[in-house]
Order: sequence, then structure tokens, then C-alpha cells
Amino acid sequence: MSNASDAEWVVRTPARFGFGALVEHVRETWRSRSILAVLTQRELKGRYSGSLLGFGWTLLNPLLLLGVYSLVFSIYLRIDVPHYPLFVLSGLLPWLWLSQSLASGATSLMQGGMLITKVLFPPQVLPAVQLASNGLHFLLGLPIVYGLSVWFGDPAGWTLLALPFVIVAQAVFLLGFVLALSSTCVLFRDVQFIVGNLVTFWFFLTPIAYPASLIPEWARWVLVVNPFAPFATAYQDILYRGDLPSPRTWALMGAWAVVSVIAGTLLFERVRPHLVEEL
Amino acid sequence: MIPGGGSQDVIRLRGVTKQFRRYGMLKGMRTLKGTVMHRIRRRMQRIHSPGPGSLVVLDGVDLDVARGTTLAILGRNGSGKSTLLKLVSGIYRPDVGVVMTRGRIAALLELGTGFHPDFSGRENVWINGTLLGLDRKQIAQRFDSIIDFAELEEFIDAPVRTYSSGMFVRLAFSIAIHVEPDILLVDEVLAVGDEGFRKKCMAKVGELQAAGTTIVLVTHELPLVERLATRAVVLEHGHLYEGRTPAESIAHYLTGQAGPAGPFELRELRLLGPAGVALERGGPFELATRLRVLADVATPVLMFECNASNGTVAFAANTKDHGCKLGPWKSGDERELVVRGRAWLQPDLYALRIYAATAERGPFAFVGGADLRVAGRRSALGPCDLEAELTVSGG
Repeated sequence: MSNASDAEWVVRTPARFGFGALVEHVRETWRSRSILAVLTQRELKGRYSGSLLGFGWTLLNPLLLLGVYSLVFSIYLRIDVPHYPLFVLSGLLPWLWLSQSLASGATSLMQGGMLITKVLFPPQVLPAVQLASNGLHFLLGLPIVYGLSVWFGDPAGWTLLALPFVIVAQAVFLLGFVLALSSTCVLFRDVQFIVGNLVTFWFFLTPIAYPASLIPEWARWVLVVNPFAPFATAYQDILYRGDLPSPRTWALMGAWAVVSVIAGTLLFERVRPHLVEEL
Repeated sequence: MIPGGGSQDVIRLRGVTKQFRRYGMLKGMRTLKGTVMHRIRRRMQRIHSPGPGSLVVLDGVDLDVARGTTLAILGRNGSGKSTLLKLVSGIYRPDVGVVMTRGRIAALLELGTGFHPDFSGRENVWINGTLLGLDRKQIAQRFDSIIDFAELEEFIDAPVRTYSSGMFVRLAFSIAIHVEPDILLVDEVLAVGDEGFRKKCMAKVGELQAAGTTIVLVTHELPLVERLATRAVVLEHGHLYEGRTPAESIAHYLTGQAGPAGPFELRELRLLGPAGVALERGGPFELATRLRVLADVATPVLMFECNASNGTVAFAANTKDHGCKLGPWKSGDERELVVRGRAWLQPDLYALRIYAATAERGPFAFVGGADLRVAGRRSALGPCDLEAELTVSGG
């Protein structure tokens, strides 16, 4: 037994909002990293238990989408994009990370209710687990993109070094998003359905299946207000064009990530005192 | 210096207030539409927060618990006992005030303490162990012992949702004690499980007490409180009452329960005989209860009941069946009921209780009670002592 009288006092005061809550949230998340790891591992193991293809589904899903988009956009609509499958896949994989994290992240607090109400459990871990497990799937899909680029005879080069930074930015961006969604979803079950519908719109408003250059001049502002557009562009720059993302793209990504994570965390902490009662 | 540096306290509550919104209000706010409508309605009625719907469960509670204490929290259903435990465990945050704890806290709150229903027992052990602050190595070291104590070898890879409530509690209890907590919070769960496991738990609780673990216990089982608690507090109307001894707190709790006993008010209750000391088997006892009648009652009936520690009725009798016709009683009358008897009972802790009814067929309401301990070593099942001897010829 640890000697209780030597241990430090843990002090719990009424819920704080604003900056104090933000700092505490980050510290608590850091302390919970081992539980995050355990739950993520479990999530990965549990997802495909009982299915024949298992992890194969994770690879098959984007490939099926890739096939359909190639057929519709490249063959029917004859979009003029060389190596179209490579182009689509480089934006599609990170998009799937986003859409799947949002879908399962939104309901994550509701599903883990028992953990939150019965033991001292840092609730922000639950949406983060969804983010992490889908993120791992994303990472495991990246070699396919690289394989495609080799197959098309134009493999991405040293610009790949920029990729981790884009991935981290997206993780931060997504974290804010799932925190906001998961907590509001506990208060309003409507959110999960809203998310499901919105994600479909969002996909087609983002230049993933078509290049940004096809958007007419007067509608270009959509790219600025669409938070995922700079991320899609960055992945395409690195994986498809073999370029570094432009400073403008970096700035937009960074801005969206910071805004999202701060707003999401604040919202989450605002709802948090009510979680135990509402679940 | 940290607050209160040198002292041996491990739990401290200062002016802790906790309130909840009433459920009726929540229900309207489940959906977006409901909330919007609710907001509009409130705006129109010019009602502002916190709103009429909040219920103050704890109202400025102060509490210090020293290391090694076994504290029992008594109180009626809904008095906020569980809320208090959840505040200490950190699941709830106070609305006002400060809750301070130090050391590792393991909590057994209600059924299904923090298990994920879809995960297997094994996975839940890992998750809970991690939550309680153990690293991989420490969990691995304790794993077999946890399963062994919980008697769940065969079921450890089945999802926890397939477990019976007994299995649930066994696993939860086993994890909680194996993390070697500094503070153990227990809410009623010890009442679940079969007799064998209960005994094992009690033995383990004794070990923890000896090792200096601080235990906070919420239970309605008064004999358990008498046996384990070194302190007892009563939670009523959001405030804590503490007698000089656990027994005094228990007495306060019991008399406090006399509140809704119909038109009778308990004035005095005395248990004559060796006060506080255990009775020899067959020893005489006398329970005297003075009642005040608050309204006219035509046919009052009083009942005496003696319950063993596991809740079985050892003896019960009422005035009507004893051929004693009472009444009519007038408002303001005082009456004394004296129960004299001999404790032909097995060694145990018994709850003597007085109930009253306004009609011959009841219903009976609790008026007051006291505990009676019969000394000795228990050698037989059941509450009665038949003075039976078992002899076999030839030995």
C-alpha cells in the first residue's frame, strides 16, 4: 500500500470554465494516456471480432469507394486528372478517418455510460479512443497510397517528410471536433443524426473526388470556410503531386486545428459537469 | 505546504453543496426541439436559473476522515448517501465547496461498478486496474489472484453483460481490494452475493482495516455498521449528524426514522439490561417505548419485532394477537409499551423494533428500535436457541 498520508491531496472544486478548465483537461488527458492505449487496443481487437475478413474490411472499404469514384468521375464524367485513383485515394483515406471518427465519436460517451457514471473515468478518453483507432486504420492504409504511386511510376519522394505534420494537425483538428460532438450528443441525441447527414454534404463540398481547380472562381470561398479543404489539399500535394503544401495551406490547417481543439475542449468541459447526471 | 500537511486526514469536505435538476425538467430537454421550447417557455415566464427544478441533496457538508477510519454513512433512501460517496470518489464535483482526498481510491458503487458490458471480464480487469492507477506489470502480477478471489475462472473471457449480479459484484470487489486502495468506498454492494462470498469479503475487509485502509461504507444493514464502523454519521436533509459513538448515531438514525409513523411520535425508548454489553443467551431484556398520540385513533395496534442480522424475523408479536385490545386513544395521550422477554437466541446482533398501526389490519409503521447483542460463539444456523445437544453414542 502507498502511504496515504505522504500522498498529495487531490482537491476537487466546483467545475471551472474557460482557460482553467482547458489546462486541467489537457493535464488529465495526459495522465490518462495508458487507459487510452488500453481502450484503443480493445477497440481495434473488438471491431472485427466475429467477422471473416477482419482487418480486410478496413482496406476493402476505401478500395471499393475508389473503384466507384474512378468509374463515375474518371470514366463517365471524364475529369481530366492523370492517375485519378491515386488522386482520389490520397484525399479519401484522411476523409474516412474524419467521417468515421465523427460518426463513432459522437455516440462514444453514450456508449461508455457505465464507465463514466460508476468509476472515476476521464470522459474525454472515450471520443479520443475513436479518433485513435480510426487514425491507426488510416495509417495502415497509407502504404496502399504509396503502392499506387509506385505503380503509376511517380512515387512520392522526400516531401513525405511533411506528412507527419499534416497528420498531427488533422488529429488535433479532429480531436476538437469529436469532443464537441460527443458531449453535445449526450444532451441532444439529435446530434448523431445531424452528423450523419452533414458528413455526406461535407464530402462533396470538399475537393477529394474532384480537383479544387474545377471549382469556379465565384465559389472558391467555399474552400476557405470548409475546414477540411486545406487538409485534403495538403495530402494531395504531398502524396499525389509530390510537392510541399503551400504556406497558405499550412496556415489554414493550423488555424482550423487550433480553433477546433480549443472550442471543442471548452464546449466539452462546459457540458461535462452534467454528463454523469444525463447518462 | 499542502493544506493540513501533518495531520492524518485522508478525506476532507468543506462546505460541500450538491444539487440536482429534477428529472421532470430534464425529460423535456432530451431533444433539441424540447430544449428550444423549454427555453422559450422559460423566457416567457421570466424564470431564470437555477430554476425551480433543483433539489439540494447536500447542503454545506463538512467532514474530516482520518486514516484507518471505517466510516458508516446512514440515512434514508434518497438522503444523498450515494451522492456523498460519488463526491469523495471524484465522479461528481461539488457545486459549492471543496472535496479533498489523498491516496488511491477504489469505489464499489451500486451494481456493475465501472464495467464495460461488452468487454470480457479479463478486459475489464485491465481497464479497471489501469483506471485505479496500476501499470501493466502490477496488473499482471495481481491478475490470477483477482480472478481467483472472484471465483470467475470459467467466465473470465465472457462479456461482462452475461454475468449474474453476484458475479458482477464479486469481480468488482475483487479488483477493488487487490489494488490495495488507501480509501475504499462501498455502497450497499456487500449485501449481494452468497453467504460464502460475504464471509470472504468480511474477512478481507477486516484485513484492510488492520492494514490501515480507510473505508467509507453506505448501508442500511445496521448490524454491519455496528460490527465494522469506528465512526457513523447520519445524513438527513442535506446535513450530517454524528453522535459521540457509532451506537449513538445509529440510535439517532432509528429515532429519526420514526418521522412518518402515522399519528404516533416516539418520546422515549429504553432497552434495559446490560446496556451496550452483550446479553447472555436466555438473559432477560426489557424494551420500554413511550409514545405520544398525535391524533385520535380508534383501534391502535402495536407490534414488536426481533430480527436477526441477516434480516430474518426471529420473533414478532402484536398487541391484538396477544389479546390486548387497545384504544380508543385521544390526541395528546401518552402510552408506554413495555416488552419483557428472554433472549433464547443464537449469538448474533438482533434489531428490536416497535411498529404501530391505526387499524387492526395495519399497515404498520416503524416507530423506534434498538439493537440487542447475544454473546457467545455461534454454533448453529437459524435465530432460535433450542438448547439442543447432539450426542452420538460411542463418540
